[in-house]
Amino acid sequence: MNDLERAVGLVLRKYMSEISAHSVRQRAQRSIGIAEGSLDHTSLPKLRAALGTGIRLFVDSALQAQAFADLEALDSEAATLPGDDTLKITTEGDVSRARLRAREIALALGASALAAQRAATVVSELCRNIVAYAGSGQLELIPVDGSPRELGIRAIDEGPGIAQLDAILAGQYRSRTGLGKGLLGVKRLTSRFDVTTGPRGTRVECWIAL
Amino acid sequence: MTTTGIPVIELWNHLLVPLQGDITDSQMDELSITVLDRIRDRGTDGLVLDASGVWLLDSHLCNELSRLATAARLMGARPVLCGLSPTVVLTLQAMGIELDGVETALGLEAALELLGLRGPSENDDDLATDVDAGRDEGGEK
Repeated sequence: MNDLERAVGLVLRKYMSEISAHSVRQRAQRSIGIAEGSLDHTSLPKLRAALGTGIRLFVDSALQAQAFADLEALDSEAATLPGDDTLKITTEGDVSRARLRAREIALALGASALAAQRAATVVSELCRNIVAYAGSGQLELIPVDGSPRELGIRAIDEGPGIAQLDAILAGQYRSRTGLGKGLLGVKRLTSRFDVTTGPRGTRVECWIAL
Repeated sequence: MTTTGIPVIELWNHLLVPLQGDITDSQMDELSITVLDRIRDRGTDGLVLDASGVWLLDSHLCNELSRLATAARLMGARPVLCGLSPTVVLTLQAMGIELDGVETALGLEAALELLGLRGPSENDDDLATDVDAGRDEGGEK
């Protein structure tokens, strides 16, 4: 699957399940004689026409026009990575927005549903900790190109720091509020994980392979 | 009290709570009070927490759900959590989070059956298959 094929798949996934999106795209592409992995922008209009059947079959009739419009928008879209994003985190609403944004960026990078879920969950845990223990802070989402692509997640606050960090990460600490479980969970979900904490704040950096 | 609340549906002698979308802390607090009040007032047998509409469960929400389930059990109702999506389950497992002491079921039907409610008999295959297919389509949101 090349980047353009992935991009088409991502558009379809907004309207149908991941498995349907994959097979609808593959079938349409096969029907116009383009091998898997060799779709380019010049053949997009032909592919769009061929996708018609699948879209009419799988997509609610009220949403079909939007689906076709989204596919047309791919023409002008260069295959670029989404940019870095920094979000201020102070309220529960910010936490909500942050995890949706993480999921959106992960999917735009071509993540599977599970990897996007992991990214969103990690962001949710880190942002909740910011709101609960530091009051406010910021979250940075950093797409990293590579093989596999990664999403870097950095959570920074100026709160009182995490006193029991070693015990938490060793799995020996259980708080009533669930802080320990959350941070340990983040460590387990990420490929690289680094915490710096002290009386003047906490900084968690981690990467998720997509 | 104004409410942006999560519905609590009375189903014969059980309560059904369809959890949907993003659940805030205040909604969760309100839900716990509402559910426990109803259990006290009605002597509920079972409490079904249907999480099929929840796209993300983090450690905090899991904790809240297990607390609600435990509280319901203390008041004599049998709590069952159902409708967890595969991505939610795999993520929780990777994080090492367990829903301590909460009974679970695949979907709403299985949860209700666990509580002793019966759907159409085994012979009505057509109906059963249709319902399953509908649930699969809606699962991956």
